[in-house]
Amino acid sequence: MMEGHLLLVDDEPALIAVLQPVLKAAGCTVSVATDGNAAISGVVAQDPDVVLLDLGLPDMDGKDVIRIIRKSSQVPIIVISARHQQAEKIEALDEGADDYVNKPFEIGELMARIRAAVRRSQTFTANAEAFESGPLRVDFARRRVELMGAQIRLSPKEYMLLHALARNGGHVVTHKRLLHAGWGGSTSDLQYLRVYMGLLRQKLEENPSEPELIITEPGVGYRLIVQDQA
Amino acid sequence: MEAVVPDMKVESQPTLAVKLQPSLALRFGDWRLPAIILTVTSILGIAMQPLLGGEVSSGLIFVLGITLVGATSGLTPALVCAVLASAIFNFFLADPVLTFRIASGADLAPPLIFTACAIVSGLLAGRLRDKSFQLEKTNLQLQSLLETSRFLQRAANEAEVADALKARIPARAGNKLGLYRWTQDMAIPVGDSPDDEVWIEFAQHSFESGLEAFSQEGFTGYALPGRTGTVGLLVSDEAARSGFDHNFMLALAQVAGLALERARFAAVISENQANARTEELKSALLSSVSHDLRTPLTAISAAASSLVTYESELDVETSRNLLLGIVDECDRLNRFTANLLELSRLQSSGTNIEGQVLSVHDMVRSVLQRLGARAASHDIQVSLPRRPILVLADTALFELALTNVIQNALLYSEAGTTVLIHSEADRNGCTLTITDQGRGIAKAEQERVFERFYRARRSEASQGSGLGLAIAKGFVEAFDGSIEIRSPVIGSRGTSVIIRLPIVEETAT
Repeated sequence: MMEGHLLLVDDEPALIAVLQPVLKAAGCTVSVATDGNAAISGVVAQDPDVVLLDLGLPDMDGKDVIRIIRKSSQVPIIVISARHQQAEKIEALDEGADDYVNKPFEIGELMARIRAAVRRSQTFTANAEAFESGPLRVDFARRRVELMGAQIRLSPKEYMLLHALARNGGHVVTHKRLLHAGWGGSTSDLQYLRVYMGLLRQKLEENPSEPELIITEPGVGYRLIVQDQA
Repeated sequence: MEAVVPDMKVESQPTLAVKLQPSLALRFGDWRLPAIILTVTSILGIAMQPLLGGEVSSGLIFVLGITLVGATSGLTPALVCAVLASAIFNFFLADPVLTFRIASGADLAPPLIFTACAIVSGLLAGRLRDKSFQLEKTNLQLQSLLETSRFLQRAANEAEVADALKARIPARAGNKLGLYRWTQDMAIPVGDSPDDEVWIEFAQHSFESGLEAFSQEGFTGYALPGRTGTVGLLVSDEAARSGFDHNFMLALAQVAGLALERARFAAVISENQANARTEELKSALLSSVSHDLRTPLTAISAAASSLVTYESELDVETSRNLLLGIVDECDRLNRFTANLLELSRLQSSGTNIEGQVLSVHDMVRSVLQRLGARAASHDIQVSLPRRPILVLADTALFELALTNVIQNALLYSEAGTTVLIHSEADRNGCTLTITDQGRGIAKAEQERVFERFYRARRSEASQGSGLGLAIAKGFVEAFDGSIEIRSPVIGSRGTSVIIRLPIVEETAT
């Protein structure tokens, strides 16, 4: 069970009819917006803990909705999209969405995403001091990384990447954002990113070939798992 | 006029010029007028000599005749007449009369002066006439070229280019003309150009010669220059050469080459457009499949997984609603699949779908029964004549088309409003009209709604697949009917979908 106020933005009555009672049963309070304008005004009026946003809206582009919401609010936004809309999904994430679920989804998957988002909005703030998940602890103030209490030495780039992942703990971080975090936008070569993620895994994962902390989201980016979320 | 004339133009290609020049010798018929004129002048000159009082006046009559010959028949007849007239003058008029012998002294002057005058006037009049004739001919050819070019401009494809050329040219020269395009090192006849071996082989040779004009064994081929090289070949047989000179044919080849190239580009463009349309349809199909399969699937998956995961936390009513939702969405999936299948059936069999005699009453009743609870949100009124209306149609398609149209009416109008289903028949056929009280369809959209995967951009329409009306249209057209949309119906609201189908007369029972 979890608590929190959720704004569901979808124009599909069938999906609303399913999600609304189920999310309620799971402990959320749910309000529904059926188009982009209602979503934008809903965020302002209700200050929800999570926005669940279907990218295909009748009145405006979902990405524009995200852009407008982000001007005034840091509310976690989870995008619902179809798997084939990869490019759109990544754009939405780059635009400021926090995470996504592919259609069709199982309720458990959606709930995990919502939980991560709610927790982040309630506990992690932009100036949180540390990220903790299972054996991993990232101390933002002291730039210190610990694994099971032992300090891990990271190169500056490795730390910047881990920092970006940890700041968005539990959420997917797009390649573009990670590249920006590590290289300041001076490269768009995914090969660099792959190499550094491999180095990070070497240092952090118990079994680097089967990572449990840093998960690859193929074609989209990476996700630092919040241990009790998995 | 343009038949056979002496052509004085100096040709740029002498070898060809010889072949292409109409002969300088005139046909027999063309000597008739000079002969008559010469005869008449001779008689007048000789007969009137006593009256006119001297050979000088008679000589002037001869000069007048020669000038006339020059003006009407050209240089050659004028000179020939001048020589003849000089002989006649010498024989009949100049002293000593009735001999060709020329006297000496003072008698020598008249025949000499006469001969000089005759030749000069014949020369001048003849040249003037030939010049003006040549001009007239050039003008005619130019006009013909312009006219042909205008026709060619209108030609939309290669065959039309060939037709335009043939329509213009043989009408003037009574020849045979072939247009060939050069594709992959092969001369290919365009339109109904001669396709027998002789012609094609000649076209091939002509291409390979690389000349802008190539003559052999009675054929002449003109290369058709395009922007990127020779695009084709215009071949004319022997007869064709008589009417037009070489330069004209070259100019014609230029124009025809451009037209042929343009036609080819047009074909490429229209092929590209067709490809683009196919691509558009494909992506529309993909996005429709994505939306119309995934949306119900998402709802089903979410509902079913919720029932499994939160079994204990959901109350009985919520569980039941989730289950009902699953049933509804399965029905929606089923409908979408049926629509896709029927559409592909319509597409593959065209109008060859066999029909059976169906009663419109039965179909309406059956569809409404099937819609059941989904139609409960609206007040559905049915008005059918007492006499049954029979049509020839495919059951599944009719049912699907009618379901789609009624479903649209329900989707596009607010709950609680009326949907009217009305049918009537006369000798011309039956109409089945489904009218809602919704927002209506904008004029601009009324044609487009029949396109596959077109969905009016509106929130409540997101449930539609964009296939419904396309199938309805496909169905009625397969059975010789028609479908149209009328909107608004009353004031600014409402949409009527009118289906017309031919009726089957009930055989006496």
